[in-house]
Amino acid sequence: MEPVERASESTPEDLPEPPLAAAMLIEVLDTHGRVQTRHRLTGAGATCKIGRSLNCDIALDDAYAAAEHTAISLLEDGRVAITDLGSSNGTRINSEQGSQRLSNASATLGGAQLIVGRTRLRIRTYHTALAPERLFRRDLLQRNSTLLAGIGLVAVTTLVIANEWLQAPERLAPKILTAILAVAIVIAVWTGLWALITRIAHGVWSLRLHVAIACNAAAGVVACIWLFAIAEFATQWSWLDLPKFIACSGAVLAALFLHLHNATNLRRRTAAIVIAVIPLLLIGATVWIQQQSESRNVNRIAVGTAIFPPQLSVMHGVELNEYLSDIEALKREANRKRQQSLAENPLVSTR
Amino acid sequence: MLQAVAVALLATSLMLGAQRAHATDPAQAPATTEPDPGLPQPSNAARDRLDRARDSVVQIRGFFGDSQADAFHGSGFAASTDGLIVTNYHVVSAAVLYPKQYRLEFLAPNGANGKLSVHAVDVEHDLAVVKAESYAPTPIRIRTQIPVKGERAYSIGFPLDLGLTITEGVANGLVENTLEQRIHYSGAMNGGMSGGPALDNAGAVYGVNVSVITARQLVSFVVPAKHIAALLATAQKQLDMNSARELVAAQLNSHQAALFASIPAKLATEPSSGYLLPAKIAPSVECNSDGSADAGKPLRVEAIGCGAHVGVFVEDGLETGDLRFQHRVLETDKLHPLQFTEQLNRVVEAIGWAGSSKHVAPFACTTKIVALHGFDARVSTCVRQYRMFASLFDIGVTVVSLNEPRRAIVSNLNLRGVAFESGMDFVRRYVGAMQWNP
Repeated sequence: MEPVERASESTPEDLPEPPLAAAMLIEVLDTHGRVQTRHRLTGAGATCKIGRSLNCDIALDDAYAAAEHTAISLLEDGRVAITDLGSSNGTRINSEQGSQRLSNASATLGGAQLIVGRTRLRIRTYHTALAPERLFRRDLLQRNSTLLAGIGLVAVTTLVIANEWLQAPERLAPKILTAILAVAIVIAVWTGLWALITRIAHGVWSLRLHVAIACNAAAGVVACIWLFAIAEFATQWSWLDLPKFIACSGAVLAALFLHLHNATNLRRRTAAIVIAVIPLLLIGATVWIQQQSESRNVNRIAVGTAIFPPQLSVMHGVELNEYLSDIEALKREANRKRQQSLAENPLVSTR
Repeated sequence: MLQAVAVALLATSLMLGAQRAHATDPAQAPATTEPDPGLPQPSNAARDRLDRARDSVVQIRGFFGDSQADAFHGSGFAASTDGLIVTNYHVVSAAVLYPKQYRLEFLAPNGANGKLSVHAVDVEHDLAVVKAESYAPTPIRIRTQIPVKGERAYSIGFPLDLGLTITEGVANGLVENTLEQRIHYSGAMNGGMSGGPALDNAGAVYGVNVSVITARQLVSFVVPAKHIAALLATAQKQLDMNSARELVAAQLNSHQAALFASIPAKLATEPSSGYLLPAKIAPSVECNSDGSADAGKPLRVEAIGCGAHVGVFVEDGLETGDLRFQHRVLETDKLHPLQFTEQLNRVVEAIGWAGSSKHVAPFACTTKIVALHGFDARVSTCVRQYRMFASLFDIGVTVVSLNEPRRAIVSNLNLRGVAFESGMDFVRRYVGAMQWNP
């Protein structure tokens, strides 16, 4: 490892003496920002030409680059001078201040990204600030991905078996095997997709991590739906629909966030925003369309939530007269729906 | 409309049938055209009835807007000397409910044609009286006596737009055990004959052609002629079409009131798997039952269905004024209670309604656990109002028992086109009649 001195943003006069002879490292990046090739130049006055020509020190396979596009020279004080060699598309510099086209020869401390044609290059010098050492991730999910993946798979398998058992088919074993196979295919495709994204972004598959996320989330959502259904039956509280929706869709969103956060280079906050906005918009639109459709469906009857064994109920029945005492409210509601229906779609007039 | 479409389809199939007949191999055709002495001779009586009725019947045709192609058609016959023509309400219903959209015309067998105006309707008995402008067909004598079973009878009309036609059959008296007064006619009847005269052997009108059960053998129905006289008495003036809908609504209300009046206050029940459930609650209500015959099945289901079958035609796609209920009794000794309730939920979810957003508004529902006689049950009551008739509602009640882990009833009551108060009164009696009495 070469000795590195961290540079700060300062004027050339303030620059500290480079510890060694001036040096620069030019890194050619791929579309994902990963380094493809490195070119190291040392000694003041060293120049590197970039373009498609074989005369260039860095020959690019880029149709949008000129034959001799850009020249980079190492200055005595350790900075680099960048000069566009008269290309039509120009040379752009991406820095923290934004992207700008190079008009004249420009001196930089390094760290900036250079865009030649459609190729990105990064220039590092002794003055380029180094990011602090990145710690290995120590979160629970990554440390225990194997264990969590195992737990998730067992949970999903158990729920699949329980679901098939509940249907009470005549031949249970083949039904269970078929259902497990179907669920396994879905999980494989889903986790495979996320693993592929992780491989592209981070260079590792992290398959167990995504299996852990997907399986535990799927099991959690199913368990959430069942538990709320039992609670709704036991209490007959229809308002539980809302917390049920929030809790179960929250589990889905959490899983999507974990997938996205672990598979991409997106920051935690950005991933959270993406997960909060896109799926919520999709879920919201779906629920809205469904509600609109149901509210106009004249044959839809709401006969209550799912029924479970009577022992699970904690409610006692009201008297029939009490039940029918508020039936006028039902008539008013039916009349309100008629008025709404007539407002949306008036009757054909007889006059 | 639908009727016209059905007629078109039937006509198509008949034409195809004719082409097949022509395609028969000539070598296999009979060598002579002499009549086969083994075949029944044509009925001279039918020919005579048709000749005598020819000047009395007209085809009634409905047109949408200014179109010259008919939207629907039926038959009618003169019943008085002042040109009043009797037909079915369902033939002219579109023109009654949507007078700005549809117009009525007649076409007589002698080629005379002209406009028709509606003078009276009897929705409950599916009758209407119309009058032709400047045309007075010869009236046919009306007989109010119901024909006895086996009496020779004839029906005349314009089936499938094929021209004036007579069919010969047998009258089989009034249909038994129903509030809806219909004479059973064992003879052919097809779309387009509706409203035509049903004649006895003397050529008198004993009723009006009204309906047929399709996919069965010659099971047709006729409205008794005794309802014609009462309607003619109210038909001296043209109906005010602006108030026709109110008149139809009043008649539908009268129909549902008669239905509820025919049911005793205390509903009759029958035992089923420990429950007492409403069954044959009135002579006009017919019940049948069925069940899973395979004793090896883990779930035993018994279904008991009852209905008054008194639906009244209002317009295309809307038949109302009926009462039906069904009980399904589910029982198991092999399934776990969780597995049993899963099956129970499927039965409950399968309950559905039919109806068009053109006719009814969406349902409003209320659901609670209710303590019935000896058991708790989840009772859901759903109500929807008719768009055109604000005084009429469809009411659905679903009762699911919650007292046994491996036994349950799912009872479903459907009331169509009833007044809210009388419908709810019946709901109270229906649900209140259920008992757990093992």
